[in-house]
Amino acid sequence: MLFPFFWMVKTALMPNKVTLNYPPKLLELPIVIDNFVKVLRSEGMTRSIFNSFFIAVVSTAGVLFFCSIAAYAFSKIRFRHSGFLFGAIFATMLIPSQILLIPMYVIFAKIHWVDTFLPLIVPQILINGYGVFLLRQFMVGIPDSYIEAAKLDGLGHFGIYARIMLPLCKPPIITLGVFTFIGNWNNFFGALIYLDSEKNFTLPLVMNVFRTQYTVEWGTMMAGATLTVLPLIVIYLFAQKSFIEGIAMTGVKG
Amino acid sequence: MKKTLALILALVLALSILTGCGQAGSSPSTPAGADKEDGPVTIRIAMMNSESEIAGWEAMIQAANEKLAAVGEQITIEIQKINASDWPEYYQKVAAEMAAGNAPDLGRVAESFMPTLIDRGQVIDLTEHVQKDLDQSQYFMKTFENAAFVDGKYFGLPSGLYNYVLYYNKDLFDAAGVAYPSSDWNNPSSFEEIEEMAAKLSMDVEGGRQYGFFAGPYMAEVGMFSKALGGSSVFDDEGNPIMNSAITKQVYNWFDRMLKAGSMPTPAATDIMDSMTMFTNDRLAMTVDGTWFLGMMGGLADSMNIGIAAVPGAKGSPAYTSQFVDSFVMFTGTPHQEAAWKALAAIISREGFEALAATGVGGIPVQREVSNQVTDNLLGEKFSEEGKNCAKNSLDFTLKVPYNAYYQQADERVNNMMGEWMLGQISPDDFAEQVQQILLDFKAESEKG
Repeated sequence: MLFPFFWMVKTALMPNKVTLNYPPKLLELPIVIDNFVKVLRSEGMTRSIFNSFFIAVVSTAGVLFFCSIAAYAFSKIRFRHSGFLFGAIFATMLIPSQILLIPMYVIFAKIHWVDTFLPLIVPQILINGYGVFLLRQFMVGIPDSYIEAAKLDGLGHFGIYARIMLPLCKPPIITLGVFTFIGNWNNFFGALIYLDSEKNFTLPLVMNVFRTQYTVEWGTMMAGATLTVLPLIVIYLFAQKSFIEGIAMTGVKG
Repeated sequence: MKKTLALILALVLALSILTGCGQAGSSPSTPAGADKEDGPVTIRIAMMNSESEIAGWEAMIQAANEKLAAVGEQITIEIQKINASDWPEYYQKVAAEMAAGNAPDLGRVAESFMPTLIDRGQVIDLTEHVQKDLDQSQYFMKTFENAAFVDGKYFGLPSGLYNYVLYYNKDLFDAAGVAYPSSDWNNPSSFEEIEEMAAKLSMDVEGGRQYGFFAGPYMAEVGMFSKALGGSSVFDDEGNPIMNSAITKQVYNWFDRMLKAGSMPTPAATDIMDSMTMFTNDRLAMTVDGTWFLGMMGGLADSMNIGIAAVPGAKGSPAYTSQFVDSFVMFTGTPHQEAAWKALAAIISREGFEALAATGVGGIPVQREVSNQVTDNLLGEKFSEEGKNCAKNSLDFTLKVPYNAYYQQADERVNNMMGEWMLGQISPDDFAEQVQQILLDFKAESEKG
């Protein structure tokens, strides 16, 4: 399982011209850090890392807040047409994103959101069938007696949501958080379509310039991939326990 | 509780404000309906961005801006960098912008996408400008006609072109005592001679096999070989597919014999190591590949003894080489057609191509004065004059890749099925029939609309 990571780092530490040498060697000497230097010094790299991080963090926070509060409403509050509304939100998962591309772009252009981070953040926060479904299914399994007891203690819906449900839902929330962060950190296509100015470019966009129409600088690409994957590894290591619990409890496969 | 609620609401508000911090770059083009040519105009040109090429395009645009300024034009060209991985992604981005009425004024587009853009009316007919304003004697006009030229109309101007040549490893030839292939495009080495050379140059060596010859039997290559044998490339004059013609089958059988003889690597071998890596590692003696590798070959001249020859052809007849041209286009919806044309003319001027050529990117320029200089620069001082001349002369033997509304899709389907034949599961004749059927199916689908 670790071999692809090893190969990525190894290729990143080789000069570009020998990356495809045959036969391949497990360790190519001398080790060079030129590719990392080239990536880090490439135009807009620092800014793109910040942009990607900002989008990923804000999206993750927004998704977790809105999905969890919607999931609480759908799982623990009885209101008219809740089944229909949940079905409608769930149905958004069935629409291929390619179909929505042009209409969404036209709408965002009309409200002057193109070339801002808003199209990359707001839609997934406001309507996220996957997140609502994941958390609702977990919350449905929490006994209603907890809610009744909290109500007797004087808590309103928001208090129950914040003080009872959220702590109990830690594993699926962390799971959703990790998935959302990774999805946004790696989001290439959305950024390509909606961002125009170089100052707004995200990491996957900037990384893509190392690929040309006819050739790929593998050493540089792998150095970029190594840098890209590092934050994800750190996040996974921190959230590992709850993440695995979340997947086990909700039956979601990564 | 109220405090918590207030805190959360404040957080949401703050996030909403912060997400707008990627400010919309004010659209570089003057808005539609503005006073079109009286004041300063900014022309936006959409370019695929890649680290190794963008400096070249920036230099070209800068030269064009200087040329415009020198003649007192108040036109500034700005590049919109599109960091797409491939042309379909580039096209999706531009198509979305067009749908929203925010299309770039100009763009650089792959030839394979030109039929789609022309069919959908997404690019402007430049014929009048080309005929009235362009000094055609300065350009290889044949390449213009092999590019975005439909029904006698120019929908794009070539930004540079690539075509096929035969690269060979002189050391492997010398070691095997085999004469080099012909560098004369009017009298190329014949298919039989190349097959014979390939057999002599193929052998088991330490750690694997050394192959004599490789060419990807894609439709563009099979097409140019068929043309050399007296047929035509993929379609007949009426646009009907002819990939199961006797001549095309002859080409497929030529490949098949070399595959079976072990003179040409099969997909099983090229999956492990691609043909160009084999070539640069002395595991392949000849490879038909694009002039996009000229710079790399020049760079290898220190460590390898490389030659360039004409691609195989019929004995005593000229060889043909399929060309790939990316084109500069003017997108429908630009509010500044006149200014965009002036910008385009400045971009493809001698000064523009010289600036591009100095960076060594963008293919072989279609501007005559600059073309030879680029080939010399790419191959460097150590490369033989014969090789350089062969590469330069290839431009007079180019053949249009017959892109149409369905060529690209059909080509992808054919490529996906190629392994079946190349690995010996079906005969070359059967494969030719399958290719023909794929093209006929796509043609029928295309005609249905």
